[in-house]
Amino acid sequence: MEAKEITVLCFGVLAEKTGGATLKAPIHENVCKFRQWLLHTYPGLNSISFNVSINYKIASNEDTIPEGSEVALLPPYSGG
Amino acid sequence: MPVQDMLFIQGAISADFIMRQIEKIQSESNPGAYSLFAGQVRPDVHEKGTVMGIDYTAYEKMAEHKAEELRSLITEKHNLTSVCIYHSIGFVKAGEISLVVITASKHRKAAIEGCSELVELIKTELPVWGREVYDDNQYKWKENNP
Repeated sequence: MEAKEITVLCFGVLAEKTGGATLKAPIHENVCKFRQWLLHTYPGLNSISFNVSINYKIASNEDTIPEGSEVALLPPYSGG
Repeated sequence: MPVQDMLFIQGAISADFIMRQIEKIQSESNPGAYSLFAGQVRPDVHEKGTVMGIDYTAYEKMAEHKAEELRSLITEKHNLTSVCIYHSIGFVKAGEISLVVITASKHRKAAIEGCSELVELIKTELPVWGREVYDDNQYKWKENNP
């Protein structure tokens, strides 16, 4: 059986560090495990603080990532 | 609170556009006071060179949700009759406007305080990113000051 994946949107400097506006990630138990996978897969992210959003809300480390949700990596905002 | 038709404007926000929004508010609600904030791109000089402009990108869907949430919050808190937020997307040259916030209320204090609080919230809560582009085409991701 094919392992399930999610598509993750990357913004700002994070899109440069991960090499594109989107990336594919395996499903993880929660945001904490997902972050660990990200930092291992994209070591360039270690130097940048960022939030993970799930369905347009900032997620905490304990949050689960429901199937079909929209996940994004958000570096510190700098609008205005 | 009247519905705002859009949040993002491609490129710089013109003075004509701002005037048209004020005229719209005049006809929609009958406020006694307006407060306007306009943020303009500065030609700052850094070690990398002079800022020629800022290239803005955004998580548009999330920003639209967040802008609506902030508009409701500020409208209720300060008893405003109208609240508008406009932000540029794409490249804005130094000397041009990239953010406009307009609040209207029956009285001046509410309009001024609501506008000021909303600008601070936009800076910290709207998922928008600016990349400063220098005269030699190098760039640096902008960081907002507290």
